[in-house]
Amino acid sequence: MESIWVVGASHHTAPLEVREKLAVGAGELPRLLEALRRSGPFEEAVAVSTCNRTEFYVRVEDADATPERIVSATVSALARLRGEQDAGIEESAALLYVHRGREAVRHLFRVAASLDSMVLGETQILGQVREAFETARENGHAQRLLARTFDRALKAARAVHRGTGLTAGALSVASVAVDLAGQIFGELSRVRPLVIGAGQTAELLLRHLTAAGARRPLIANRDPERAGALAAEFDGEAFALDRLTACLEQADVVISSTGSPRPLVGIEHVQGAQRRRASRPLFLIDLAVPRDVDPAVGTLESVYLYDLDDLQQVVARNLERRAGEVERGSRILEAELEKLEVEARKIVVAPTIAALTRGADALVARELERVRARFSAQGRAFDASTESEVLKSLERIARGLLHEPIRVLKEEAARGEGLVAASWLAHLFALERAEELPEEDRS
Amino acid sequence: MSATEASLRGLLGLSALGYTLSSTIWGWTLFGPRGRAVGVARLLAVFGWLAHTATLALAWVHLGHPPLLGGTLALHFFVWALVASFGLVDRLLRVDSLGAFFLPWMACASISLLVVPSPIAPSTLAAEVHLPSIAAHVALVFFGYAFFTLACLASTLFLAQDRALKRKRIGPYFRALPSLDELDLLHARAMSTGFALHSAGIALGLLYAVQTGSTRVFRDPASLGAFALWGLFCLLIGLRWLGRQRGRRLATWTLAGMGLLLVGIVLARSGQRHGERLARPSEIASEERP
Repeated sequence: MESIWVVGASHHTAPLEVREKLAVGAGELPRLLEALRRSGPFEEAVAVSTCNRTEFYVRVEDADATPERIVSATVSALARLRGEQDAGIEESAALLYVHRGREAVRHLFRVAASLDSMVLGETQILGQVREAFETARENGHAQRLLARTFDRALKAARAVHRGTGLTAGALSVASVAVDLAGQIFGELSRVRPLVIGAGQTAELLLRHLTAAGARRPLIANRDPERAGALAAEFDGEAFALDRLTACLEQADVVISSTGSPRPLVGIEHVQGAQRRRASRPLFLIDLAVPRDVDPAVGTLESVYLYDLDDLQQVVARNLERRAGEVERGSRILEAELEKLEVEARKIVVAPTIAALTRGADALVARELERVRARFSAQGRAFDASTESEVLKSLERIARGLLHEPIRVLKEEAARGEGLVAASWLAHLFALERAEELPEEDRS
Repeated sequence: MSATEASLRGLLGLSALGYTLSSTIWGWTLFGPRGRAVGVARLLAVFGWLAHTATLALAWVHLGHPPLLGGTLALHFFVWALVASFGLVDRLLRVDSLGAFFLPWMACASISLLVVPSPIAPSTLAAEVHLPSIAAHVALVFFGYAFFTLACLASTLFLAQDRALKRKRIGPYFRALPSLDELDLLHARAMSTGFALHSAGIALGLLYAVQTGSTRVFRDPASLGAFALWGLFCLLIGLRWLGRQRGRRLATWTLAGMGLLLVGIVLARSGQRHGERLARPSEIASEERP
């Protein structure tokens, strides 16, 4: 894994004005990867570019590569992509971080699992990493070790998401409100929202609710035009504020966000509405300051009142819970990292095993030919069944002889001594040198 | 142990295994990805129930009458009816998380059935109680109890969920509970189905009593319990449809009613046994005379 490097900038290390210079659009990625591989000693390359980070994962076989050289090659590739010597890009080189080997791979694992994200546990990054990897693979820039590393990173991220509570619990006021509505009503397609007022947060919340299935919202506003516009957008009905009580009877979720200095919804409004609603659950979300809903309303049976503080407290508790899952997530990632390291060590000896097997096959073929010629010279029949039996015997001998050397080679690879063991085997069995191997057998 | 008893124990063991595996998987789906796991849990529950059905069928064949009455048999049948009721409600409502709260109890009940006396121990009950009409009466009443138990489970979960929402203590297990509406719907369906079956059972029992001129039905604790449950059904259904009550109040009434019913049945049974002892002092005295 020592040949894997990462160079990049994220929200942890660079401000937005630097990150935006380094950002790469999805359409630019194939050209960037091409430019990267030409500008430096990069055997493989993957670029991950999101609003919070731009990172370049590369495989470098040159053992003398230095961080400065890697950064310089990366920055040159970016500048070349932009078609000019962009001073801004050169300047941002100082803010780039560089990791190598196990540290680089650990970084990738943490990024994919959203442990390095601005919002801990956000799942969007997993899709973004996957897309970046797919782009590189389709364009031939990630085939061997880097491909295996990214495969393992995606698998590790999914294991973290499954095995911890890192992605559980909503982290925005709107998402929390939708979650709560789900816990009260179950299927939101039967839920009818009522929006009182027309604040931006109320509108955002309405969007979330309708996206989750809520239908035919009621919009009550002092300004009939504003109410009408919102109702038209969401396929709802508009009402004047003086018809609030009638609206309350029909609504299941009430979102209130007006600038009223006094509460608009009092306990008597809700009691009256509940009597006519046969005490069906009523969920009130009061986003206004000062509050639009009398807090005493929350004491009524089947009525659930949440104000802005309540929703934000739920968000804070969810964030705390996610933070508490980081250690468990990190342990899962370390276990996956170990597995990858063992796999990577085994890759080193794969060409030697392939060469051993090829040598044995060649020997078997030569011996079979010799036996055929001997039979022919002696005038004895060498039919298909005899040939098959002889071939099977020769193959069994060859495989039997190679079984133990290959097993020991794999063991030594797992212990990190693969190269030494492979070189001894190559010497003992007079195998071809690595550079003479076909392309697909090279590391 | 006879071959029949060994077969019964084997089938009961399979049933317990099915319920236990099902409740384990269902419980796991509360906190992990659901995917196909809920479907697998349902299949295992069905497997357990089929094994349980085979147990009762084998007992029926061996005994020559429906395996409904007598302490152990009644217990077996009641657990079987409970799972059948849950299966019906689950099929109707398709609330994925419900089984996680119900099956563990069934698993415990079925495991405990493995240690009680054999369901085919000879019955000490009079032959008349094994008549088809009585069997139908008992079966329907048991289903009434089973659906009422489901309604109580729904009420318990409702109160837990309602409390969490009211107190704004949204813990990590919050999402695991079914929604309030789903629980209320489960309560309504369980009550209406249970009431219909229970009413049919009561009617059959009364018909038999009228035909045979028996007044025992009005003194027997089991019968009194069935009447009390029917009254409870009427009260709760009336509160919902006529009184337009639902939610926390109805859930509280349901659990209070169940509690009173259980206490009432226990007191009635104790009273019956005490009464029987009081009615037999001359017999005891004559037995004790040398």
